[in-house]
Amino acid sequence: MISPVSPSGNNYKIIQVLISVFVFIFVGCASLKPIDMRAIKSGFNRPKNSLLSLEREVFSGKNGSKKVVNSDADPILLLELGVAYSYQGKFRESNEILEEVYRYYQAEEDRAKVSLSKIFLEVAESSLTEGLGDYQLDDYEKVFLHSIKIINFLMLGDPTGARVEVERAYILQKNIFKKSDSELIELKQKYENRLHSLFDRVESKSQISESKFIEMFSADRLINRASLSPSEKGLIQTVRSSYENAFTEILSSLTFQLNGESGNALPPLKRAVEITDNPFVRKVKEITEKDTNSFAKSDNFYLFVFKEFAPEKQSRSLTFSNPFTGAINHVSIARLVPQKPKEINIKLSSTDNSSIVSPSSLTNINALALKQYEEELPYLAAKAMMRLAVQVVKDYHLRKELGEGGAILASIFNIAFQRADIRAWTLLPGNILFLSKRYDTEKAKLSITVEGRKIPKETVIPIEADKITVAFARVFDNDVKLYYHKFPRK
Amino acid sequence: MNLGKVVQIMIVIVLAFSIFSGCAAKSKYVEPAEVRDNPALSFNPNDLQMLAERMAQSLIDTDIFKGKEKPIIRITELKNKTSEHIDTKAITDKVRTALVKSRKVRFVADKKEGYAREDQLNEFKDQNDPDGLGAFMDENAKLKIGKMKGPKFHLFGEIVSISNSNSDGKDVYYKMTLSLLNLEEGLLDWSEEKELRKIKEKRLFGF
Repeated sequence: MISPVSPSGNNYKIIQVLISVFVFIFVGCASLKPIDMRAIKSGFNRPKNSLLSLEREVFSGKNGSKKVVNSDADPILLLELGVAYSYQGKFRESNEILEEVYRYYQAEEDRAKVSLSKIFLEVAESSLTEGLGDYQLDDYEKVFLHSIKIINFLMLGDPTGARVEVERAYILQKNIFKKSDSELIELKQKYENRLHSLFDRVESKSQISESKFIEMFSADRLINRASLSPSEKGLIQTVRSSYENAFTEILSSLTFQLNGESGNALPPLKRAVEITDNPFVRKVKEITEKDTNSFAKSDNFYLFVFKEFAPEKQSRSLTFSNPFTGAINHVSIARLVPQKPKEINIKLSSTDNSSIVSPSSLTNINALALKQYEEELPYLAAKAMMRLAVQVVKDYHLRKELGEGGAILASIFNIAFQRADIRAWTLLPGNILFLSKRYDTEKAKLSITVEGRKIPKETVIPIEADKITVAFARVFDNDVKLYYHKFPRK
Repeated sequence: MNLGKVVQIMIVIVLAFSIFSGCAAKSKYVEPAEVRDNPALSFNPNDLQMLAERMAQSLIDTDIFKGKEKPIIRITELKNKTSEHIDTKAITDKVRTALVKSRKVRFVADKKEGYAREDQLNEFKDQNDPDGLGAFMDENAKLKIGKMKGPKFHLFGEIVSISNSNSDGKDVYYKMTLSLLNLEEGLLDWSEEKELRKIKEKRLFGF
């Protein structure tokens, strides 16, 4: 609400300076030392450690030989480093880092119903700018945190550890609730009340009608700038609100098998075939349906391929000249932008080249991310418009106290300090492929071409016919990282 | 309302929250068996101790081991089917230690404890190696081949958890099951389950 009493000119200037400093500190904290994720993405194939900048932010020092995680490190940096370690084959370190993020989000969920810090943050973000607090994980990101840990445990040869992560992923999926429509209605109502109150304050200065005023500040203007394209809307059709994904389901089924729990392996496979067209998943499900013990008996080789990168976020702004205050208004929200897909061909052959097979798409992370984004967009837009309303009040008083100079100051202030929160887990893969196969030969050979160029690295996987080999490949532009582990049949 | 009053109100609110939520944290030594009034929802050392002791006592109290000869048991590490990275080796060891202390049973090393078997075989080889350690040993003090015993029972089990949460709090249920398989007859001679349930309600106020 607008203060009913206007402070004197001098007091008001002091308050403005204080607010400016406050905002500067907050915004500054949120954007300190930006890390060049593009350099990290292109640096995985170089011998030099491309993760030094991330590690510097995440670790505060060493306790003996063990690196100590900085308690102030933003969870998004831990997520990025966690998955990057996994790509480098540092599976134990990856698990340790990702476990920190798990503890973080657990603690967030356990916060008091009326949390002072949460209230402060909520007020600050709906009054000043986005991204003032720690990164809040999207639901699909929480699911993937555990999926990456499952892969890590399997590559460490620890199916028991993987099983724990399977349980965590299921608990999480069970507890994911879509934000209720009533919450959105409440937020919109709050904003509309604020708009009407605003109009009451400024109407004497203007000839514009209330309906025109409301239209000018409509959240739909921002939503239109950031909404999904028709093709993106088509992409999210297969995603469920619980963010079930076929990758996690297949990993779960495999983990149950490797733990000797063949009875638990079928339900995740059934869920997987409902959400993916991958023919290998269908084949494995059909085999398991006939005999739950035959899942890992018919096929002895399982390959997961990570390719491309997850979507990034870019700022989308609404900037216009406000006829009531004479200042320029500016609000921003983050728009999720999928990365350009690459033409990547992967072929797996036996050493005698007698059979050649390619993995098929299993999970499209772009789709999961876009689905979450679409669900969150009305809230983001409503909050952005709340910030706009706060701006107008401030601008109105600045203009009143300082005249034209106040309007110029307000415009600079609005453009400089309105930022979108563009943090996202960008090192996740954009797409995951999968295949399963029986090999009786001793070796399987992986050959990969990216945009027509063959990755020269030799990638041969030794197979033991009576063991189950689980392999994980991360494809980059000029390189592939391949890891595998062989498990005894149970 | 002037600025001074707003600041005063803010200070009062912050102080009130501090009192409600309690800021001080201190640590102290406690007895391992001491049960905390306000347990963490995760599986903790108290739970480990409680479940292992109850389970071992239940097995000791049966009449399976009433004969004169102490039966030999092989115990396998519990299967962890929970959503927490529990050290199931520690629980298994705790159960085994309690049973050994009862003096009613004896144990052989589990197949998973391969290092113990390897160590045993190496010791046999060393003591009976005429060109090595065996050459220096008292003949009567050497380990005699052909005296090893095999287990009559196999003790195994699992620990599962079910977790539920909503806006008011969390509810976690743990169940540990142990079974004793008679290896000769192929029958389960004993089975027991022990449960734990923890509820945590969210505080109304806090930081």
